[in-house]
Amino acid sequence: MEGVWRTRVGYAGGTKNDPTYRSMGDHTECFQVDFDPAEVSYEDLLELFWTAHDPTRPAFKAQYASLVLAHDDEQLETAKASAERLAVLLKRPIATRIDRFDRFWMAEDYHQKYYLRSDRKLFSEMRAAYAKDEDFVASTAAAKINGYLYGSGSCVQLDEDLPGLGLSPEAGEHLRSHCRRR
Amino acid sequence: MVFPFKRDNPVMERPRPPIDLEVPAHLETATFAVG
Repeated sequence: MEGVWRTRVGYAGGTKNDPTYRSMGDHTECFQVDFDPAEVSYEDLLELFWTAHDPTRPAFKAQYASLVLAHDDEQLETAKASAERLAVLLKRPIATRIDRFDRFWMAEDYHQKYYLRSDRKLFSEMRAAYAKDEDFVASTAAAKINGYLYGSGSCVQLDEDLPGLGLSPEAGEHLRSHCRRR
Repeated sequence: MVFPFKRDNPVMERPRPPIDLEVPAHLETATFAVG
């Protein structure tokens, strides 16, 4: 998504210290995005969030809850107002929990950029550009490639992005062919 | 001494992708979970 520069996955919304995938406690599996408000608004992100899942379905456990954690008062009010409008539109209550952000616990490395890690050719090339795994996880290029591998974005958009992704011609063509096969 | 990676291996000497160098200084963060 244009305006989203970094992504990461982790655990938040609960109280347990040092949660892990195997011992998450009362946390929820979350994703975080760092976005440029000059390019994309929080409202835009919320719209995508609502359409990416069914927010009217109550979670059967905290791990899989629908959740918005607001980082400031403005996000909190925007999210609440957005949820109220959606409830009116759908004529159903929204099960999404909207709360203040407290703390985000990074998920284990093998969860970060999951689709990119699953593609040996692209992962080996991308990972080689970073001395530390945390730098790879924070990479905008890695976030974009991971998104394309997941199925987001169009092939036209990929062609526009490719020069900035720093891939070799072979790896770029590998990603393009992946996009064309969808 | 054996180095784990050969210096002539192009995969091991890749520069940062250009887009990583264009990240705006001011970013905001949003946190979500979709179940």
